Amino acid sequence: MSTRLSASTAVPVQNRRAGGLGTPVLMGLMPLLALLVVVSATLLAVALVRQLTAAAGFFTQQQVSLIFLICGLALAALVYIVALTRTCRRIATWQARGDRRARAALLALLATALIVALPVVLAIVLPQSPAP
Amino acid sequence: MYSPPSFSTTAAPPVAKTTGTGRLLRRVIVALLIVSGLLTLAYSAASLYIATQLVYAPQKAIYATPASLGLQFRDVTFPSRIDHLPLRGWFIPGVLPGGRLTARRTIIVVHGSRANRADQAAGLLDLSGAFARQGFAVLAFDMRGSGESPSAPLSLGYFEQRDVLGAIDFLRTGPLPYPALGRPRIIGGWGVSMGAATLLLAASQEPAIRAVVSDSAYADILPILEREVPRGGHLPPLFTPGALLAAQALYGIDYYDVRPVDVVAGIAPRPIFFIHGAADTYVPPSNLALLASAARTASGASVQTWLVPGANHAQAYHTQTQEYVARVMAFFTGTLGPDSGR
Repeated sequence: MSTRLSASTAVPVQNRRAGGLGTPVLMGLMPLLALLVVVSATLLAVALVRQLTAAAGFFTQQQVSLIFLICGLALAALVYIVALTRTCRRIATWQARGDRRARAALLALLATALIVALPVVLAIVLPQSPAP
Repeated sequence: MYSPPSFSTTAAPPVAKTTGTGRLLRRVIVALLIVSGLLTLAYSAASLYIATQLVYAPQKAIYATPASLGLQFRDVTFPSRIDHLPLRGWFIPGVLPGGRLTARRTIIVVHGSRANRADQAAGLLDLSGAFARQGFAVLAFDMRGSGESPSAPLSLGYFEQRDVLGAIDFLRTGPLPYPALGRPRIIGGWGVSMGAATLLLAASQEPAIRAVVSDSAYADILPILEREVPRGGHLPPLFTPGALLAAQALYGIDYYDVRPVDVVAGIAPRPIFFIHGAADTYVPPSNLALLASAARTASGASVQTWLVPGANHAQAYHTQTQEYVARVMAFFTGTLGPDSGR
């Protein structure tokens, strides 16, 4: 029985080591994708809400839009953390097995970190020409 | 009894080695992810806050009416074009020699930012009175978010141009007071600072504005925002692009599109008179040169300029009141024609 258990665990590991890199890359990009989906949905919702509340006046419109944006930001942060945690667990499992997919997922995760920081980096390097 | 298979003992060392370096790499990348996420979140939140401050301008009360100058006037309300915000203003009929009232030549007076139709700092009420006494009717109104008009975000011309276009619609088809005077036959526009930039944006789309006086207009709002946003918020300049994007997300304002310099040539062959204070520290006098040279690129362009010595931002009227009035009246009389009263 014990021999059968060990053999059944070993065979899939061998298969995974030989498998494609699409899944781990997708897994590494998951936090970024989740973030993009939530941010896009939030911006769309805010645009819609702005139209719907236009008749109620500027202050109402501003408050509702702000509430939607802040909720969207909070949701984006939550989704980012959840996706990041899940991805890290999966990578840890792959690493423990010596699975080469771990490295691909880590590289994708590194790309995610760089892309997430991109708005701030762009804001720093974007040329500005303030009036004297 | 359990006996481990032989391959597991031989495979163990490489797995342990990979896990050691991999774990460190994973921790570094996770730390990077957390830092970049926090940075972007903080940047987004700060940008949103700056955007709310950027568009907010407390509405100033009207301190006096044309009656204080001994002029007749009526309160009017008309909708802006496209979004139909009810805007409040005054219609002041022109006074011809002999005291007869007229509305044949009407000038739309457009105030600057954080001001209203009676803006004392730029001399709006006095200038409106001067127009009326020279026989020009005046439509002076509060743009959205100013004076007695409904609250709205300050978009520095992006949305406000709809208000000027609404004023044109009102003069052409709206329920004008003084029906006995008839509708204006010719319409001109005078604007100061943001009002001047807004007037240029509106005039480029609306041929009914037959002549424009632009006092202290900016050619492009972006350089001024890139200077003022960090200065006002005591923040580094990197927050400006974020704040402008946040303003677009929150209010739909595209500040990058507020560039009168791009459209001013479209006003030709209608004449434009650019006035600017030579000592303007808020909108540098180089804006006058940019706008005038852009306007002159059009065929049939008719452009006049006057750089007023010693005048700071929107202070040309106060600095050289008599000459200012004389020059502006001469421009409007020359471009809109005389009013014989018949």
